[in-house]
Amino acid sequence: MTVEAGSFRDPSGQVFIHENTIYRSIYQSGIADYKAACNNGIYEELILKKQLISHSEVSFEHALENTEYCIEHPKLPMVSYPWEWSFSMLKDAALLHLDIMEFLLPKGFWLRDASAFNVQYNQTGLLLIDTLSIGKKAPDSPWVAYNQFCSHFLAPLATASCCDIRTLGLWRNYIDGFPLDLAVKMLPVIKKYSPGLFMHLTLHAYFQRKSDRQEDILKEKTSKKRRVSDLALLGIIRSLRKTINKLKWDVDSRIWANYESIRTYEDADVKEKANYVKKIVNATNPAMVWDLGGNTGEFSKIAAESGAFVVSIDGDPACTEFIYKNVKSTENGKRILPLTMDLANPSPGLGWESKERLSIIERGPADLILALALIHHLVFSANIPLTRIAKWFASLSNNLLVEFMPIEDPMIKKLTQNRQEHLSYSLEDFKTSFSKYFTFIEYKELENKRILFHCIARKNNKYN
Amino acid sequence: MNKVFLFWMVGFWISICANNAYAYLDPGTGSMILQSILASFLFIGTGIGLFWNKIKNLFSGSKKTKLKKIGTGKSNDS
Repeated sequence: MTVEAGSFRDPSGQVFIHENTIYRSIYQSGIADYKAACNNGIYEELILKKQLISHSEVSFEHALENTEYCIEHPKLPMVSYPWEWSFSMLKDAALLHLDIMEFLLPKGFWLRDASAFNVQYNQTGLLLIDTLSIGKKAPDSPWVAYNQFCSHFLAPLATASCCDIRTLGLWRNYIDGFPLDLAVKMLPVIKKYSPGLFMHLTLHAYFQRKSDRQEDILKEKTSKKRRVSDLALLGIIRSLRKTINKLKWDVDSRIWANYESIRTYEDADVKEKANYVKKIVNATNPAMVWDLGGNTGEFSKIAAESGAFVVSIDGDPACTEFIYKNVKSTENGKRILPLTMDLANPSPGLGWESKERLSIIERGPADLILALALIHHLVFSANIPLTRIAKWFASLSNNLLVEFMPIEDPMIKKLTQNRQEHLSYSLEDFKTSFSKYFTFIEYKELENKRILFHCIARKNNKYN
Repeated sequence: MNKVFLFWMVGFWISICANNAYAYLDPGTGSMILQSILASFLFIGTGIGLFWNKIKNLFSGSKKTKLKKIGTGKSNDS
């Protein structure tokens, strides 16, 4: 049995894994809310609407100490974090919280927290995965998760939309949400005073600062109960929705929109490559594929069509945004999770003890790795030697489909035109480096001289 | 209208006068204060919105009311 490292902060329950099954222990302090939600059919309705992860009560003798109830959840194909999400995915996660709030309020319930980590991508779309987030509403009380909602959703979306999409990367540093004053500083003046952002960010940051003054620590305060009527709370939720809906990211779409026209190889090569990818995917029959450097998801789609769940990873937020927006409505598309990640600096373990949020390696292994038109970028743009690339791939999966581009390829010529230093990059270097960690099973040479290699990781290689 | 204008002007003034605070001792209190202030403004707007929907439903002839009493706090087990 393993206790899930990211769920220890909630005193009302905790998630643990036993024999590859996910369970949640509910403690004494969580019972009242859990039973109330059960009795009012809240869980049932939200599960039916595909907004909440399903669960079933089980009696489990090995549950965590002090467990009063134990529920079982279905396993998610892959856990992902907001610093890896595309703009629209974070926005959808925010809207999911607001949808659920609007559903809960008339029933006398609300969300006790509004953490971006409580939303995950399943094959049906985005889901709230924290069953215990739902609790009985305190009468005439302000929303307890308002601050968390603004720092987890509104602040990052506002800075990404109004300042720069790359500010989403700040998530890695501020895993408890963006500091609101920092977000306000990043906004252009006109946006700071646009009605929604002014109310929920600029003023919000001001009131936070005001209540944080050091000189107030020793002052005796009369505790004044803040009252917010239910109708006003609904107004706040709707105002947040309106503000979030207005936030858009105008993607600089020149790169991927014209991807096909700027491609350095011919349609015939693409078709040949796609057929080979399909052949290897069918031969290996993977349940989980990681498409590293997935670009616009062309090959992710091929893998998804075979029934695999595909994590399409690319460093360009425009690519992941493109995939998320364009494939989420299709049946096969729902099996593709696009994640933004610089592969030369992949997601590390973060949070308490660096274990609360898992590194990308800890979320593996995948059944098959696709590394198509990728390794030359790692070698020439990030100076990563081929041997280290091979070692990293071997730590992610036993099966690898990797593309090697010859040094004469126009793409490589472009990457190296201003470089002075000599980097080891030839077919021989590639084979020597990769054979330390992989056994070459077969290969396919395309018309444009690029070569696709299907490799299997060596079980006990001496280089690890 | 004057009330709204005054609200923005006061908000504008305090937001430019505020100093930085790098230590968050109690971020929750500020959020609670803000919500109680916003509540008085948004209460009116939401109330008008709901009332307007009611009028529209009346004229559209739909017997099925889309409005629900918000946040009664009553549930089966309480």
